[in-house]
Amino acid sequence: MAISEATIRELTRKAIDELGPLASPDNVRQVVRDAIARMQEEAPGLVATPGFSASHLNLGTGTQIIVTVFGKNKAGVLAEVARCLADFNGNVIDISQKILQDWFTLILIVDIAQLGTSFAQLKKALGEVGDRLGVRVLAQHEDVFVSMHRV
Amino acid sequence: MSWSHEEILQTVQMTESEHFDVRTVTLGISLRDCASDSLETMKRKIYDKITRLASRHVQAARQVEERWGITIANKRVSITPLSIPGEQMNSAGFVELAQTLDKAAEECGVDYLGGYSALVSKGMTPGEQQLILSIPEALATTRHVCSSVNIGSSKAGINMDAVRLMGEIILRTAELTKDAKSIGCAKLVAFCNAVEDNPFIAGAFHGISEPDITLNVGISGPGVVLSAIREVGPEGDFVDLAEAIKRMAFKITRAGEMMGRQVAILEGVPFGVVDISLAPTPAEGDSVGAILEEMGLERIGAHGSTAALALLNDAVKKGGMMASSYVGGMSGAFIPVSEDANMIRAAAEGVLSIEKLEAMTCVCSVGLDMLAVPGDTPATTLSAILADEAAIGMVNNKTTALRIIPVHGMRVGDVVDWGGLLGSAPIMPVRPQDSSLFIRRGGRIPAPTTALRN
Repeated sequence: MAISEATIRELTRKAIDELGPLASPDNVRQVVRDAIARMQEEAPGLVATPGFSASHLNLGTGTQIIVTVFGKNKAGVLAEVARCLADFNGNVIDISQKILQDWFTLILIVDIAQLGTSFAQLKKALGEVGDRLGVRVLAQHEDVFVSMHRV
Repeated sequence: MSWSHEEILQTVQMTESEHFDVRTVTLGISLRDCASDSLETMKRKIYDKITRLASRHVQAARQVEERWGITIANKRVSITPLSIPGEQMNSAGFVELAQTLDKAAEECGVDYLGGYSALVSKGMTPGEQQLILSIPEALATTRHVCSSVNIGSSKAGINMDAVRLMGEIILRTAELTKDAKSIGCAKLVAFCNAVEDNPFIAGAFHGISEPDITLNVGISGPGVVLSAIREVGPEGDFVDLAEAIKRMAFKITRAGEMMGRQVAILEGVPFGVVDISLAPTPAEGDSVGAILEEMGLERIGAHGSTAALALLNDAVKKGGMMASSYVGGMSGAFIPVSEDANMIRAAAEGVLSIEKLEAMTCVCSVGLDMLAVPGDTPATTLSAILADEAAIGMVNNKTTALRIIPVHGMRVGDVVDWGGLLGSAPIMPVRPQDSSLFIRRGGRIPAPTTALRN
């Protein structure tokens, strides 16, 4: 027996409806995976169709983001960015900074598994910190870097 | 996973200053279950199915953009060539269906919907003929609907009856949309060897061998390829150029597929293909012309342009094929004149002619694209241009196309400006010699010997 594409689509829609505005690719994937697991428990031998197998859903399970800051060097940039990340319960696991004349680039690798709010809100807050300090602050999920730079 | 400073900065530079974006995520929807002999039933079924399946499309794409920090420039829908479910309609009925599609697109918030199409490479059914006849009015009375007609293939040859008809249809579309600088023609493509999973507008449709629903993604990135070539510098030889392009194509394809798959997951639909075409925009630097010029040509259109484009197109494919197992669609560099700043300049200076563009389409996708010609160009001349382009596709087993705009009331020397992504274009001269006897012969150009491969 196979779980059809239509069933998985239906499950996904249900998951998105249930999660409402909190729906993100990660939690939708989790809810769908759980639902498929439940169906498989009830009916052993059930497999998802090859075109839409559960392994397809395994992309992007990383919980790290990469924060980059660019601008004119001044006191307190690192402190402010770090404070903002701490406020959101982001865990800084790596940090590097380079200064060329007056300009600097700061790169932070941050684990957001225990984030208090959504990634979008953290991104917005970081953007506001950047505006206040007159520097650019970008936050991107590590998947982008994994896909581009690792074979 | 650990990252080097250079890797991170390269990605940030690509997304922040080199216009790297995902050009389109296109949701393909089958309308084969919407067939009926009743116009009202068809309208209801089509509207219901598209709005039911595509209602989350834009929202899902926005969520993915937000999270991964790469812009998805366009969110679009493609449908089964409408002539198939609409076989029983007449042309007035098809126009009403176009308006229904327009309403559904509006409701879902997508900018364009492709698939007001007919596949007639070997011949036309009555329904297909009715759809083709309805194209001018359908495009003049809708905003989001795009149309394409496949008039030839390497297997079937070229349907010259359809070629003749398309010349007239293009001219009529230009006339009906004259108040908007004949913009209707920008939404109309004639193909040879059309592909079934092309996510790019205006030629997108959801092919007959596709599943009920699927999501295809089109990457972009002339800007990032340009910067990779700049890094090679004037000292590098051709293998250096090819290597730089391949590496960059790999990266943008991987990122594009990742983004597309995330959108597909969020919509609960199977992922289809990544189309690795380089699609320029009028933005400075986001230009295929600029890439060729960076390789060492004074202007795109100069002698050497075809060779440079061949190198570019091939290297993009090699990098992209390594990056994704599901490469499909057009997958070749686009050379739409009005949408590429450097091509506009070369055309305005008279360096880039229709003949040179035609030569360039032999080595890249997709064909003569977004080309403005005088409004008084005879329909038979438009048909003849289409026949030439289709012949290139037919003989070389590749997709070729014609998207030409005979701008109503304009002549050589004028410049038409459509604004936005469609850009602007100088009116290019066409040959004044008459091709009408050739076009009026009718019938079908037989398939080439390369069609017999078994």
